[in-house]
Amino acid sequence: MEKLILQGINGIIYGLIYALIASGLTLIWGIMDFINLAHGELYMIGAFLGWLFLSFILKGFWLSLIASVVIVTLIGLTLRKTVLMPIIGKDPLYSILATYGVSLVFQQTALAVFGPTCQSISMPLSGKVFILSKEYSVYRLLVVAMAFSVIGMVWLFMKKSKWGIWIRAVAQDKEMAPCLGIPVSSVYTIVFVLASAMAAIAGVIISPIFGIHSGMGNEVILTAFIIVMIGGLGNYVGSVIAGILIGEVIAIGTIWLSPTQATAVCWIILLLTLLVRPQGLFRRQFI
Amino acid sequence: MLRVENIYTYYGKSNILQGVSLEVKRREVVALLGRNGVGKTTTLKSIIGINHPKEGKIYLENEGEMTDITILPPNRIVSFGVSYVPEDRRIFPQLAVSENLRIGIDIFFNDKESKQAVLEKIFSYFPVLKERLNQEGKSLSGGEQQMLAIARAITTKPRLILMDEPSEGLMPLLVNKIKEIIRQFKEEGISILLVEQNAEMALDVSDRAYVMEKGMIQWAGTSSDIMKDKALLSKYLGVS
Repeated sequence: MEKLILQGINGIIYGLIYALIASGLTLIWGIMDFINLAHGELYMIGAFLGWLFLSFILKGFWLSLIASVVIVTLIGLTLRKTVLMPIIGKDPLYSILATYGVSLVFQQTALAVFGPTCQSISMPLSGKVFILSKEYSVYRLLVVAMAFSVIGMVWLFMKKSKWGIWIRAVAQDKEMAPCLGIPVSSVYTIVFVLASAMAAIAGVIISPIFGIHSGMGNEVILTAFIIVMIGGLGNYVGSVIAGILIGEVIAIGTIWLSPTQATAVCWIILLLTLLVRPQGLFRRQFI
Repeated sequence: MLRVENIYTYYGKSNILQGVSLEVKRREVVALLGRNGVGKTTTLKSIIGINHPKEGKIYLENEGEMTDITILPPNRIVSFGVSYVPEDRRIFPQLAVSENLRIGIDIFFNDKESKQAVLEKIFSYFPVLKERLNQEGKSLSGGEQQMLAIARAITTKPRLILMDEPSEGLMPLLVNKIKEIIRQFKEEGISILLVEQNAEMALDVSDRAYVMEKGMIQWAGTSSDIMKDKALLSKYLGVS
């Protein structure tokens, strides 16, 4: 029972990290009709930058987090301006091939520079709490709080701010939105900034728990796509709920199954979802 | 106010507009008439910047000079004072009525007072929208959606409104309301280029009219003249 509860909390952590990545993916896909296979690499680069800053340049985890997010956001923007801008609006095959190429470049560069070994960061908070007589890391609980806060802030931004309304308008009707004065290109830029920042935050805050290696983006991107499909394309809240669901399946599944088998269960859930509700568990909605 | 000079617009390889020229003066309501598929909607889409013409020029009066807007994107053209009410309303279905209105208001009005003033103006035209502010666009009736589409056009501080089939699918009472609003806009100094299948309605509210066929303007004149020309009405508009 204790193990089940602890794994349940771990599932929320995994789920929220997946949700941070998947919600960025669903924003880009839902709003720009753009499938970004390099999105997982932004998560990986975020983690590596956090480790680099913390190990060699800056003192303190939180400063390193901010610096990493800023740089990954700049990388995301550079990607948008260079690789992605010329192919936006074209057949999805263009975006799949181009972003897969970018993802390979990032992965192989990370492998060449940092090697195949997993790097680690010590937890910025070393405290423990007792959950049902078992010790549990305070930092893990902080990850839950931070991920929830970021997800909540982005949701509020989308719901209440001028830019949030513009983003939703563009997602719903790309032709009409500029006819009301919305600068669609700037909207795409903001979406990229948000998605890149969320991926970077996920990468840095989870690195003390998961470690850092060049394949981590590749590992997470397929699960993130499963979450996007289950949550309903473009549905931000749906992707968060689906993220937690998949996180729980993987965490609780690993009590009885190997991690690979638990991931296979996720694929089975996706297949069943697509059979029963092709639009995902939640409707196709924009935020 | 607006001058369209000999434009050719394509959808893919199909040449839809084949040398369209027209003009809309200040405070003028101009009807663009014709049967289905003759290029009326494409003309409006060319002007607003959705489908740029491959040949020809579109000029808009801006601060006393005629500015070339032929290849500008829609958001730039709107900023020059051109609004667009599309054929199928195209309201944002998953945005609340208030959000549909807020888009233009946030872009074109700076202070709280002027934002409130434009909202009050919209509610004076369409009181029902005040009651629907928190409803999603898709939950409105067809007539309410049309009102919202016109209200949304007001939020962009227009000097010229391009209206595409505003009476389509509306009951006669609402068609009269639309006519009344078009007249009010004219009194306020707003010019209107009105595309309509309902020739009777369009000619009733317009000062001048153009009749299109096969992507070209076939006839131009005052609305009172065309109303007297039964042969023309029958030939191009199917009105007996």
